Amino acid sequence: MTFYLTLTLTLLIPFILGLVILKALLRKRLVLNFWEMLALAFSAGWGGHIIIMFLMSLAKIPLNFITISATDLFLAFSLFCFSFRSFFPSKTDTSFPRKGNLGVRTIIFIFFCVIVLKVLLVFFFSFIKPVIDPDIIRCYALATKFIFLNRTFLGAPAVGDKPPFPFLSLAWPALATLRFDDSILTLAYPFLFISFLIIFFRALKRSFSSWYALIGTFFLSSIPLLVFHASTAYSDFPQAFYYCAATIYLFLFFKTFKANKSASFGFLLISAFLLGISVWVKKSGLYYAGINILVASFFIFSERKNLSWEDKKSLGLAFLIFLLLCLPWLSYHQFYTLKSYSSEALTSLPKLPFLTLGREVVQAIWRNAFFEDNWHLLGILFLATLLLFPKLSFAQPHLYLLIIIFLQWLMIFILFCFTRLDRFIFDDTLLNRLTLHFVPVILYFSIEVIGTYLEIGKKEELKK
Amino acid sequence: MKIGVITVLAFTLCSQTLAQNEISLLHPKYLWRSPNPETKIEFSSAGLTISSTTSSTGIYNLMPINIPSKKYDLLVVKMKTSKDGIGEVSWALENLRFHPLQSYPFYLRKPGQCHNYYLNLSSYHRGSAYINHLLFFPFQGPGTAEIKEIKFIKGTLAEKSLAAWQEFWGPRGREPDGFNFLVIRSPRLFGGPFLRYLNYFLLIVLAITFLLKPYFDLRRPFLILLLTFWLFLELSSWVNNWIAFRRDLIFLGKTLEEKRTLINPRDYYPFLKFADQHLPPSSSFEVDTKLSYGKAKAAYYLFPRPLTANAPYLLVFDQEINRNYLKNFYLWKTFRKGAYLLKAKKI
Repeated sequence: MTFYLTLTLTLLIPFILGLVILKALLRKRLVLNFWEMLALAFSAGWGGHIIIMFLMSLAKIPLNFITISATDLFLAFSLFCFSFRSFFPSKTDTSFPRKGNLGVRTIIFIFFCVIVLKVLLVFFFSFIKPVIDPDIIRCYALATKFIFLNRTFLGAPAVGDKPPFPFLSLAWPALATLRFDDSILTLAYPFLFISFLIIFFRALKRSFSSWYALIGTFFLSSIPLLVFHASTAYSDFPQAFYYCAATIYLFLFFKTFKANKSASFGFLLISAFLLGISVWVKKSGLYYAGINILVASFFIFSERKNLSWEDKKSLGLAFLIFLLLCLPWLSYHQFYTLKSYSSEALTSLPKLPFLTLGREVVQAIWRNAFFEDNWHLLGILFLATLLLFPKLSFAQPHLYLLIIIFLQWLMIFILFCFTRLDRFIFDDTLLNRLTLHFVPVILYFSIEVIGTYLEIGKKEELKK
Repeated sequence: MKIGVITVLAFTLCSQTLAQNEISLLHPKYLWRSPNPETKIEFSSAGLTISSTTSSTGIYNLMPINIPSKKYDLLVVKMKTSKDGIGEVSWALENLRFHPLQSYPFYLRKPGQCHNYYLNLSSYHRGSAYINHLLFFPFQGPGTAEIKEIKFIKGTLAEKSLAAWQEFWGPRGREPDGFNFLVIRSPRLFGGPFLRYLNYFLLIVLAITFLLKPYFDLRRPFLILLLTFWLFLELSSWVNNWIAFRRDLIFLGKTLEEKRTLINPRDYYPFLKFADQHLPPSSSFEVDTKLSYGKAKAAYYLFPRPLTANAPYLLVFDQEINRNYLKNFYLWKTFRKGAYLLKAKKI
């Protein structure tokens, strides 16, 4: 009983922290739906909690349930005092899709049930057995055991220059329950999976009807490789979650910028926070963050005439949040990683047979997108979106998502053609996991464009 | 009229059957052997009986069969097994080498009854190839199999359809294979991934939709088709999930130690627990095992003891003690025959 109570607290403490962070960030800018608030509070809180654990390690404070919880709650209380007023918004959107005729409600019900079943399955596979995958045993679980026994992240074996999120994320349930049970190490990931589905649904629901948003969410919940990774201890799922959620909110910022500036900056702040956390998950997070910052800069540059002083302050705040979040890790380790890969790419440019490799990369992408069941039919869906709806695909704000997707592919090409990672193309060990990090963005883009087309069709029918 | 049609159909079927060539492999001349000496192979009037009480019951033909895979495109196995699970056939061509890509796993049906299994091996070769050797595992682990028939035939459409059906719902692309964190395989059909056919078909429909766009707006029907196929694939995924779910149900209600024993091969985890109880808490150790990732697992379960070379303790699992080891070590503790803890003579 005490074990399950502690386990609940293990989830609840980061959640409280996240709730306070979110309220402090958003203030009165944006009113979130109740479920979205829960999802964001958990994911933001979990990220913030991990950063705190890392900073505590640096400060040589032993990591245990009492010290970590006390620090979390102290920070939460401080933020609460700082943003006391924003905790009582004038209205809270707690709506749940209930509208529509019988047919629509039936569709909603069926898809909702399928999604719930998938979530239950992810929970089952996460907790039914201890971690067993070779890479997990050799790296993540081993380092987690070190953290559990030594109460610090510093000096953990097999970490190398990997960011600390996965290790500390796995270690927290063990530290809190005082028991190294390797079947509950991935405690957070199924909850992040639910959060992802809610965030995806709510982002679509802002523009489209409930049934359409639910079908879009069903697509996300059915991507086989994503579902598989949500129940493992690999760091690819959290990376995909934090990066894609950050990108979706960035897109919402682009989309609502002209119509509702206050809300749009709310989205931007959420995006900045999640992007900051994504840097802590995998080394690639830093490059992904660079892509999003670049695209956001394009957008801001194109809208520079519409920016007021207040807007500029909000932009600065978003950038500052991102920087503050990732600076500790950047200065601790990642400057080296950034430098090493970039310089390797530049120095090997004339040496590697990149034309041959480029062909290999294209073949590998083709094979994994169209021959295997990693993404179901996402490859065709994306192609169809570009070919059948070119005007909408290449129009703002969708264009920005398309640029992000293009830059992601470009990065994969650069990694495989100009660095020594090319060997991982031939043995299929890295490509799918790298693609997984932004596949939900591709799906979101397709669903958004097609949804816009269907909405236009509906309006035209109404006009007639 | 009806009688005429039936007569023609019956005649066609009969002529097809008569014309069907087949090569039976159920003969001692092919010198069926097992890589495992404990497996018994017996020929009788009822067929071939394979049995083993301790380990797997694989058999292979020592005499090359030299069968052109295009001419005899189906392997038919009629057999009764003592257990269900997965059977597997691997084959070697002229180069006499077995290869992971030249293997065909299939689900076994109800044990204790005779069933026909149709395996379309020819679809795994683009050109003409000659199959020389088969390595056949009627199931995994010990048990008994009575093979009534094992033959190569020129398959009819119906038989090939049965083989395709069995292949699509078969283990390849459905069973968790240990590499799912890298790639989720598509179910197979005619030797290739099913997704390939589906995507090519959709690409053609997409091209038609795109080309006809100025004349007919077929975008909505295309999207509905895509959604339908997605749902179908998701149903197929649910089958895979169900297989994995059923497999993992054995962990339900087990303690953590029992679960760890189950996820590790044989009695490796109890052996490591045994080592954990006896090794000094901070001593380093070495491991000698042929288990895949055996060292990584030992390093993990025995942490914080470091796994290093020239350590004062040596863990030997599923091996006999090497004479070279006895120069520097002596037998310290025995877990069971083949699993020992050795201690350095000089520490």
